[in-house]
Amino acid sequence: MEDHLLFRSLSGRTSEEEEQTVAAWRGLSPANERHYRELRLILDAARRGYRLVATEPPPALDVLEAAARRKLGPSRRLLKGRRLGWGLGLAAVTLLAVGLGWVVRGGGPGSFGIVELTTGASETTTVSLNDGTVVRVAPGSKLRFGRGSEDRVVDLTGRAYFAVSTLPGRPFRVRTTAGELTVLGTRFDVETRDDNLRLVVVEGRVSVADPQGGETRVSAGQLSRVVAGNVLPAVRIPDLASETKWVGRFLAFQSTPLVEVAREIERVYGVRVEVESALANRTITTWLSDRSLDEVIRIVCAVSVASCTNDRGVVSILGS
Amino acid sequence: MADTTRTRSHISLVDRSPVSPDDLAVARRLAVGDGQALALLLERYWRPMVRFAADKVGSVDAAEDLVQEAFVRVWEHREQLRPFTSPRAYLYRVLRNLVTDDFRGRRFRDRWARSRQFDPPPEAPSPAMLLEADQLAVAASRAIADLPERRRDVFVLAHFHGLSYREVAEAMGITRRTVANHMTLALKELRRDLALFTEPDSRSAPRVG
Repeated sequence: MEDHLLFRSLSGRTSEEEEQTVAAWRGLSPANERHYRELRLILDAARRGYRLVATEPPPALDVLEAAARRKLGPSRRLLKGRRLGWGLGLAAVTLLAVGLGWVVRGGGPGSFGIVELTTGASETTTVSLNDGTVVRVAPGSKLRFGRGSEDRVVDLTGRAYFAVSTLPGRPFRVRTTAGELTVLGTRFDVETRDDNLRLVVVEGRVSVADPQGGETRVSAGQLSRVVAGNVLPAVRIPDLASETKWVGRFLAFQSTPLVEVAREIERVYGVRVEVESALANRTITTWLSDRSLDEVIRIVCAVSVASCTNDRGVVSILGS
Repeated sequence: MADTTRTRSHISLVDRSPVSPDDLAVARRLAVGDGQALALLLERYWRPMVRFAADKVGSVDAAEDLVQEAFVRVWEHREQLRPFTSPRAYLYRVLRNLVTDDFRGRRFRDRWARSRQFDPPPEAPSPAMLLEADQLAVAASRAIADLPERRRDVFVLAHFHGLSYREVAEAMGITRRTVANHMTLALKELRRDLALFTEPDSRSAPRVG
């Protein structure tokens, strides 16, 4: 019996078959059992003698900016113009507010538990799913999904804003009592109660199917409804920003071109953002909630390896 | 990288989600340039990686610099991260390479730092208390430090850092079979070095050192 297999048994890494082999070997003789116990003694003692260092990781932004500086060149500062006071840095916003609850239940095959996330009457929360999709859940809503599951399907009651990651060949589905949405990587806002549903698509396309088999495709800038279980054709909406105002200062980008990122920042923060034309199609993937404008600029520029200036309400994103 | 770099910025990138994605999901997100994935990896692996590096270079400050550089490099080359690669294994691989380069750059090998197990500032009992209360643990630490370097790395990564054999293999650029062989040999050497503690007829306090 190789000691490395005994090690794996002692650290809980063996398969059922391997564990049976080890158990049988232990039972063969007292010497084998003693050998096993001595090994356990040694491994436990080794662990007692090993302690982690008391150290805290640096903020990820430091790492991002170090990498960006290296690419841009040592003389380029990442943020010029209005000085960002170091003391202004804010800690991450805590999302587990009063009234928010979530429960993990045992799930079916292929999942590692079902998560039910319920928001209180005045709470908004954001959750990042295993596939990279980010969901902003409105107050008084419930989102149910498989934790660790490869199935891209969630159940929604209430309202949520989705920024769905693009995985070719693997559509994302939102199931509601009023109908089902099929998404191929996009951002949209959906509200559902009983057999009624309201969908606004911000980016990309969504297919809506009602329980009667009716279906419609909804593109960016369009709205569609399901009324009493019947899907209605999509219509263009004049003011997209006001339709999704409830999400607040929430930005979610899924391989989003910088030119689109700029438009979102303008909409949410009321500033003008200019992107150097050479960078217009550079994409970023990240999400941020309730950040100051300075923080958003620093993060976007670090992630996209750009140099930014913020001069009296005009943000410029420039290349190297 | 000086400590001031780390203390200046207080902006945390981590926007906390009630559900923490698993490592493979984080690797996918890192590959597409999600800064939050990087933040998650820092939270998960910074401390064990600093300990791993400190054992080799004999200094926490130097270890922190090396680990931060490892994260910078992983971020810089994130598009090369394959979807099925364990980000943890990749991080340790980059770190080991940096430690090796660091030694070459210094043009000397600190045999003393590498031959002695690094003793970090204790978070609980003092070393003296440990010595009195747990001579086996102290002896085990010394025995591990005396292992040949690659064998020690295999043992440390698998036992203390919880890497699977596959992850250890990826981190060290060796096969899983080689990992298993190293583990078997490491355990054999530890059993030999610690026989006085584990044999039933030697329960009295043995000499240490």
